[in-house]
Amino acid sequence: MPVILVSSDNQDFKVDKEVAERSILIKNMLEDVGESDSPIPLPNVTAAVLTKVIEYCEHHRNDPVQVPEETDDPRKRSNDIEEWDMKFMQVDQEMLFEIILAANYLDIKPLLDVGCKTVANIIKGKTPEEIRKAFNIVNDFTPEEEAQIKKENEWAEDR
Amino acid sequence: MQHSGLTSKEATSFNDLPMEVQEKITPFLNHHDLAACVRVCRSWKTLFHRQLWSHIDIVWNEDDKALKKSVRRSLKKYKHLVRSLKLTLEFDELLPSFVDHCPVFPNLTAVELKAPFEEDYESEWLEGFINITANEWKRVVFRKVKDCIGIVEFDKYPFEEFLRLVAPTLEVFRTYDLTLLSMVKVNELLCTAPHLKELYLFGGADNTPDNWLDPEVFQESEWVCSNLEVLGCRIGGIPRPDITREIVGQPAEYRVLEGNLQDSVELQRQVYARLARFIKLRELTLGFPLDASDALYDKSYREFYRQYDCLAMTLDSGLDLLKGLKDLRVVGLVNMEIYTEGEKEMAWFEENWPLATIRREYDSKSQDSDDDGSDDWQTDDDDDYEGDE
Repeated sequence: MPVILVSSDNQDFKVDKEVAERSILIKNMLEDVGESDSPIPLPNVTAAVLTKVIEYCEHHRNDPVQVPEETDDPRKRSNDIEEWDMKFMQVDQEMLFEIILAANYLDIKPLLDVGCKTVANIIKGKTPEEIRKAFNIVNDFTPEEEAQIKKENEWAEDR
Repeated sequence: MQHSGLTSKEATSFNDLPMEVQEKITPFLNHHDLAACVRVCRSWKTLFHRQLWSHIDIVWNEDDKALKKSVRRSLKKYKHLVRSLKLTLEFDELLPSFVDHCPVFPNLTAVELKAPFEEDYESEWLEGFINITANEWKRVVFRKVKDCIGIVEFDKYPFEEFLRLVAPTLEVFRTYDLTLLSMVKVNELLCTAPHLKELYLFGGADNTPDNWLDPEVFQESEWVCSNLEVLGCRIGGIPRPDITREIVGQPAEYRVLEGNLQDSVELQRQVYARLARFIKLRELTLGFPLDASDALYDKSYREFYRQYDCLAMTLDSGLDLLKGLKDLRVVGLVNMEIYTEGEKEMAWFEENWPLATIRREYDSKSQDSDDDGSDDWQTDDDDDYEGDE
């Protein structure tokens, strides 16, 4: 049975229940209301973003439920994004962050994960100045403060 | 379509993400990246500083006195944040100089020490080293720096004593490319570390009985680590009269332990029964990754180093006792004299260990990057195993 999702800008999206339930938030809502065909309002997600999110959920509709790998290693890999996901994430930065926000709100862990990896990959290997440029961030440190931080973390600098 | 927000709404940016989402990004960054992040702006410093300092990775070499001084100063300042320490030493002698000037870390539980491990460590280092944390020791990794060849008489005592002291809380113990401990001590660890989840002792081609866990030694002892998930360790001392082919141009009996088939099977069944108790095992590595691309261990040497007193891993030797290990993901059988080409065994693996990859060949490509702490080495499908049927 299809489910109707309503975006913040009042657009209706008809999707298969199985697809909608990739979102744990929606899954729980559906379980709470039981058999019902009333539309589900998603006041935090615009139509443009919801379109993308549904595209993701459609593609991953048959994925097995993720079992979190238990590991003691504090570092995780970000170079293991599947090809389809990689292409899917090739969007402008505004959309990237919108997708991450939506994945967080809708509780779609794998999508949130891919989003975070994508952001990490933008950061990787860059100098502080290059990072500022990439994310349009203003440096609010004085040169002395920045030098001081650099010195404190000297062990971690890429030498 | 009507836009609900302001028409001139500012573009969503990194700073619009909630803190808990921003924090999810940090585990994907290494310490170099995090060191750049904390210099970006004030809010990024707040966000990334804790993560940068919770897993520190220090290279300690002789010449850089100024660096050492500044590292010591900041270690002192942020010692409460440090949860894991990776320390790389250029020379073994530098360990005391690090330990002497290092603060006591209140929250440290994990240490990885990467060193040449060529010089004897004086017993005194132990006291200093064990006290660098005020917390419980949970994870210990010793890794030999690559390109250090040569077999050195190494005083194992301090390490064995260290292990004895940390055993009650230890969860992970791994060594790479070095043979630090006698297997008597490893057996003791299995008997005294109830929380142990990972025991992985591999690398180095030292082919002496001291590097095998011997059923003679562990038969009488009680292993307490019932939650073990990873076991990587050679088990030896098993007579294998079933091996009859020529080995390095000599009759097999020159390299195979004496004993009759019945005793051999009886002993192997005891070992399988023992291993079968580790019902949470995800990885069981009994073979050893010997780098075949290394000139030292070319084809004939591999023959020489292959293990001939190992478990046969055949149904005839009692393999079926291990059928309860349903969670196995990795079974490493590299460089062991096994006959798993047998159709019976292959079918058995598939039926009883559905999730497991059986590794029989060393792959040097995946060994190159040891920087990420990965110990993964994969097997090729076209394996050139030359066992005799």
